[in-house]
Amino acid sequence: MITVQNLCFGYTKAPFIENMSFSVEQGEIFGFLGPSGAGKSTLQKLLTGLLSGYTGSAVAAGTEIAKRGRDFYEKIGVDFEFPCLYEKLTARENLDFFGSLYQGPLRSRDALLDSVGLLRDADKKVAGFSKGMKARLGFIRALLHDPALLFLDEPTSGLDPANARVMKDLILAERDAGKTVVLTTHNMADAAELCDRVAFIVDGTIRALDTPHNLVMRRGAARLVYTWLENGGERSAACPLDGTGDDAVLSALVAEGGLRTIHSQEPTLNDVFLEITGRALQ
Amino acid sequence: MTAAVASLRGFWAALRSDLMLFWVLPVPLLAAAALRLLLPLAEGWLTAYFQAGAVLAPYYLISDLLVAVVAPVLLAYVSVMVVLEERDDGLTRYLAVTPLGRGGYLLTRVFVPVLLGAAYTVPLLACLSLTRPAPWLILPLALSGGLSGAISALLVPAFAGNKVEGMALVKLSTLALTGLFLPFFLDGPLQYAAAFLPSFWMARLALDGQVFWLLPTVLTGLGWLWLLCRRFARKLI
Repeated sequence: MITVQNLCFGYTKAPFIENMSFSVEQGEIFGFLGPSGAGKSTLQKLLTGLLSGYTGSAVAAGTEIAKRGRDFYEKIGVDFEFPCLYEKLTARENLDFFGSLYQGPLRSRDALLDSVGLLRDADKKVAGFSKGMKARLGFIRALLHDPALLFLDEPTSGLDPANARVMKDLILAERDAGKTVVLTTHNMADAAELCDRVAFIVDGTIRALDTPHNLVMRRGAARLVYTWLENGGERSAACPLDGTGDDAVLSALVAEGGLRTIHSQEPTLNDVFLEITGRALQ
Repeated sequence: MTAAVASLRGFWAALRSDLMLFWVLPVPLLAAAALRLLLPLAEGWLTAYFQAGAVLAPYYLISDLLVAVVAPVLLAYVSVMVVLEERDDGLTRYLAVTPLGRGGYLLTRVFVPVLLGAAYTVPLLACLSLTRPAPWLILPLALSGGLSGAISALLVPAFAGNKVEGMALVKLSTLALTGLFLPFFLDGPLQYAAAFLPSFWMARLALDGQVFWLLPTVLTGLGWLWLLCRRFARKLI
């Protein structure tokens, strides 16, 4: 669905995106992860045609971005981090207006509003919406023309946990329906949960690209952390998950039934990001 | 085409939702009618008072030139206000990733309103002008007014960072119309200091009544539009 080869771009003469190559398969959720200013948003702007003047090749939905026509935008849906909506119009009027820009068939406006819990507020002016409501409306606007390729920028930003869950389920449903999703985020937990593959972007280059599972496993084995009571106080110890049989203390505690707590502790995507890039995201 | 029509409908809806902008629409007609009625009245009073053959009459053409630009320029300012609000709300960036695109946005927010302004000018000049320009001159003058309107429309969002800055720049952008007056008040080569403004050549076109002057009007106008469109397109995102 997306093929990028030797992509270079600079706002000035100095390169900002350097020699980037990757591909995104149809039906995949692909995440761009990186700190602010790393080049994630620039990359998304290049892939959606908001920025031009790149060298190399960037093909999305079968179109070289530099040679895109209007029909390219019939195939992609974009949701920016900050929802851009007509504040004086209602939610329904906003969807009607944006839907009227497309030639193809549209999804049911009310079904989409219902899917994000906005049907009851459909006739309220957007100016009266909370940040989360606007984010949900902006998200379904991107789905309205049933695009094959979705670009989502921080889709769960500003949402409460319940609505973030709804949004994530909708993103997964899009993937299951065969749509391709490009997700730009700082949120490692979202990326680990949603993305089939992620690319770590730092200083305009891809530092690592793999599935979240493989990236996490690359860091090494998980650990087992356990606690027990001794002399009236709680003590803790840890051992590698694949070395539990060799841990005499743990074996003794298991035999005596003296364990107070026991947890496996896997490295997170954030740990891996920190290790690979030397920078933390959250 | 679908996107452009939808965008124009959106523009119309934005106008209707803002009464101040909506009521700008009849202003060119009212202004032209006021000039047509009041200037001859004032001329009668002034010539009687000063015992002169003519006081304002030699400058009636300036009034007609103002009538030629008032509709495109006012419609341009209306569209500027809509554009600035849409840009402040991030909508211009969003519309650029829809089938409307940046080109469609420019077309429907700048060029169509200005062309409508130029079309509005034709009956105004035909019915309410003081100098009764030759019929063949009305269309070139209306088109020249449209070019001036488009420049005013683009000058503001091309340089303003937000709506507040834009409202200040609207006043400054009227300087682009100073070329209308210079040929009437400056003799000799000095007046050509404004030759980079299409409004200057528009005044020459009206003064000399030679269609040849449409060429520099269009060329300077297109030069301005090319520069401003590039800057405006960059500022849309």
